[in-house]
Amino acid sequence: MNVNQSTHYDDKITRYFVTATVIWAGVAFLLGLFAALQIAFWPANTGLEWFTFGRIRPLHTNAAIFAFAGNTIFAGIYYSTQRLLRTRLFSDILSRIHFWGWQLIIVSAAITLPLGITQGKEYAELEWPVDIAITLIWVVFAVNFFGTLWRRREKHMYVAIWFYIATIITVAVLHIVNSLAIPFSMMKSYPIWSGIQDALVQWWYGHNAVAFFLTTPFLGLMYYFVPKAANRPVYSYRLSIIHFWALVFIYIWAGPHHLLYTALPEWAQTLGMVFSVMLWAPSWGGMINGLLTLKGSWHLLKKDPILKFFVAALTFYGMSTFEGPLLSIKSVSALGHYTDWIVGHVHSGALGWNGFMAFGMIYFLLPKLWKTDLYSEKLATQHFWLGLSGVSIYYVSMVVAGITQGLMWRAIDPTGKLVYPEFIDTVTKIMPLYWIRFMGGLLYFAGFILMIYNIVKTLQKAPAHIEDSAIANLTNENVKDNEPRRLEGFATVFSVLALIAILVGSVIEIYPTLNITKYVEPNQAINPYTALEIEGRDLYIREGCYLCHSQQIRPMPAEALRYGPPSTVAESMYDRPFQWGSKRTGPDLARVGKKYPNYWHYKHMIDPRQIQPASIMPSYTWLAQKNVDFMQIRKKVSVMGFLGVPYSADEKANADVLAQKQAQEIADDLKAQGVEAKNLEKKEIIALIAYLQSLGQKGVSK
Amino acid sequence: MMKEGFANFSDTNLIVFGFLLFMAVFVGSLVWTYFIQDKQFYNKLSHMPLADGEINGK
Repeated sequence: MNVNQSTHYDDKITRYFVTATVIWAGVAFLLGLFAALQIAFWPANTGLEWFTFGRIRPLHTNAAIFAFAGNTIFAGIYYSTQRLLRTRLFSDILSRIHFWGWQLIIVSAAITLPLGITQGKEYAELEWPVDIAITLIWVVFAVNFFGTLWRRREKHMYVAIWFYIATIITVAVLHIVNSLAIPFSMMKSYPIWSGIQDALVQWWYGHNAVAFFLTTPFLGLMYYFVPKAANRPVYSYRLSIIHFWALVFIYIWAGPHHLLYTALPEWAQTLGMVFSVMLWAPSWGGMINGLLTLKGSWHLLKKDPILKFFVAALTFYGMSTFEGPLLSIKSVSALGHYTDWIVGHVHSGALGWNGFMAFGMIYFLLPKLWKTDLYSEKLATQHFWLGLSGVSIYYVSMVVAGITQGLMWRAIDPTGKLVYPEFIDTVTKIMPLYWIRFMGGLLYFAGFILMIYNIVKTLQKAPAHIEDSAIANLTNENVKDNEPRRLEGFATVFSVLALIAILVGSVIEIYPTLNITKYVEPNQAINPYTALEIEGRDLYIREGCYLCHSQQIRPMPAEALRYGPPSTVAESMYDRPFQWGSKRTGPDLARVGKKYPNYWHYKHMIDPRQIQPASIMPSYTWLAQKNVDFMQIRKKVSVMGFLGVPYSADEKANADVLAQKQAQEIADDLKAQGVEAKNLEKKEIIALIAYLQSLGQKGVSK
Repeated sequence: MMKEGFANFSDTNLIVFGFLLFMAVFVGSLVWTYFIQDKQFYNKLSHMPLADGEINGK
């Protein structure tokens, strides 16, 4: 359809992004169901390396965050920005590059993650070529957005635009800093950060990915779409301004609450906790502002499924942002961290807040973008109730599972012994809850299927040729406003202020840890990993072991009894990436080295049920079949040396030879125990055993 | 705990700078929003999504 581009909005690009949102939502939900089933029923790991939990779980989180939520925010931002600024997007070509580039990135994630090509950092798993692609496409998005701001007809920037600006700026900073790495092959790299630096940078990124990818853009959408759906202005515009600035300033500091009771310096943990608690105020201010927008129109909620989704989304936002700071209090974190409580918390936000906001927005946009009526409001209402039931069941089951397991881990009897010394006892206890979680997910997915049906039937009624919406009030008087407000009228000034806001917290938190040796106890020293152990470590990362096993013993009596002395800064100072983990579906491994013989590890990898009949760990049979690429180990050691790990010239030059020698020793030991396998010394499982046996064994006293 | 945290923070200048900047911006934005800006202006802004100008929209 030929239309005058200067007088019409680009609705086509919004239709593209809405379509992609729906498709990727289905993928993300199915992967989530698959992963949930794998935990409840270990044979669902299939025995195929590409489909084990350790590779499916990052695919699920990436699909949910960057594919589903990502396309949602691009759809909503492109739709609302054009209308709030009364102009077409800056460039149709950039819009298309943005759309197809982003989908290509998602497809590359869908290929690389099952192949085990991962950086091993949660929500930042994608390797360096994809990271570069993300950066380029984000720049395209930024140019297109700021170009639209530059040629807008409406001088004043509505608060939703503020949230979009903060999102674009902050995500760029987070992604670039956390992804800094030195490649050692076409698809693999080591981060420049190590140990506590990497932990701090990763969770500064990880937490703020939640803040600036799953919160601020969705709040921008909320400030636009909730008033639109209710046909009422936002309850308090002043409150929305305070909401924005307080959130942008405070959120960036809160990352270290993911690292409470770890080896991270106490001051950083305290900062993270204090700022997390402070987040209560702006978060609830925003929630109340959104809900009270319906003041006087609550009766609409009875019939309108869109408002049902929005109100439930805001309620989940309130719940999540209450629970988040609660979990950031050290004494609460001591119980909840590493348990399924955190999984429940995350999903109340992702399914309840992001999911329901997305569904409400899609139902709102469908008739407008395809110029037809929604096929069935009744189906949309049924979708809502199924979704609400599903997320509620999911959340409650995981919170109960988390608290139950957390209490079992810490239970000590009057004689000073662990009540549940066998970790597996704390797993089997909560297995029924994993099934209930799966059922909750199924209900949520059933609601989504209803939406798909509703969308298909709606689109069948849409006209063959859909005309873009025309821009009204092309001669907006605000353009001639000679005295625009600084914050509301000057995009550059505003953007710089937002950048300063997020940089202050970032620099103050990260800068002191750049000198990692300052935090290492003077009487401690660490030997770096051997060449074979580095290879084994990369296999540990490839298989996603960190998703179920932590490597960080907290300074608590129960942890000391179960795992040994607390982890130190020194112990992970050469870890690139750090592998402290955030969930214990299995036990902590920080001091597993030399705890069991090599043969135990071999048998455990091939079939965990032979060692522990009730184990839910997948079998890793392929590790005993695939060979190690010894020549690449030399490159790996060389890059590690370049990054400051103290390897001698001999260790770097002969890394492959030294690795083969150590592999032969382990293979000989296994053969002596009765393992019969051809070329055993070349197999990946040998390298992984070498790494596991090194954990907690690298410290030397000066 | 805050005291202990600050005691372990080696760079006092950074703490003071960060704290002052944070407080100044927070208080500044409160003052700006609630005492300097006029209500009518915000009322106009709050209606922007409701008057976002589609001629042939659904």
